[in-house]
Amino acid sequence: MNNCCTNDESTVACTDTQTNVIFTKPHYRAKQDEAGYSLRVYVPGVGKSGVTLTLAKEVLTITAKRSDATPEGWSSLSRELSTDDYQLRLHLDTKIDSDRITAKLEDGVLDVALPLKEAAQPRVIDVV
Amino acid sequence: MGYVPYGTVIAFVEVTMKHIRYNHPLSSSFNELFSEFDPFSRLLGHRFRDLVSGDSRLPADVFEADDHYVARFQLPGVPKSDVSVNLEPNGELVVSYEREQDSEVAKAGRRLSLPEDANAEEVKAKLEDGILTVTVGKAEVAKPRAITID
Repeated sequence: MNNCCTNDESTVACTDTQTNVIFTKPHYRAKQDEAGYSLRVYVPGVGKSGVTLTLAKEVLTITAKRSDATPEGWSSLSRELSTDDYQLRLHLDTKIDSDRITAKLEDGVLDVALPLKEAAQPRVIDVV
Repeated sequence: MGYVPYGTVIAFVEVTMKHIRYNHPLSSSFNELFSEFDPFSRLLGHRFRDLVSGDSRLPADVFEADDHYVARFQLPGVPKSDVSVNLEPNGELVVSYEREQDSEVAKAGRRLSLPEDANAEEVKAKLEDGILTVTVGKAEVAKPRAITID
């Protein structure tokens, strides 16, 4: 849940109600091609309903909550994996068309497509 | 604190982790859980690494429940067909994967020694949301019997 201070139509600031929660930044890779950017974020342990993407003032916030908590009755013999939920905040290039951002989650990998605004895409100009 | 040689730091970490282990009277072989050698980096060289952890040695969680042991690994985006889970004759659980993605080859693995009461006949593996969970049942351990002297 976000507490957002809004000023008319634009969102001025958002604070997360869970300010004490520690997040870990997931590994991610960004690629760029002619149509825009694509992001691959590695979030093992996260199911479909665990991902929220929010965009506020050009900052894309991806929060992914794990659903692989250890059951009661298991005692730990060795722990090397993180148990924290994931959060990634990225400041987006203004040329990205925020209305056309899409995301897909499969097998613990989140693929986000960030297409460029139509006007910003490279155009071929004919010489008359 | 001064300069600490890399080798010393690794040894310290190994010792600390051994002390974390649950003191089960029958799991004496658990001390081999953290093998000093990472067989995968020797075999594969350092060119091959897991895309997420950046290492050729897969991190793992190991748990103990009443009647089984569980080992968990993080393999996001790796399909079942690229993962191999093997129980070796010497009782070691070996998990590895090899995946080609975006013209990069990612290869990583882990070798875990199972405790003496792990039952090699009951091994199950499940891959969901990028987490591989391997369950190994516990064998019935012969209880000590008092033998009366005639």
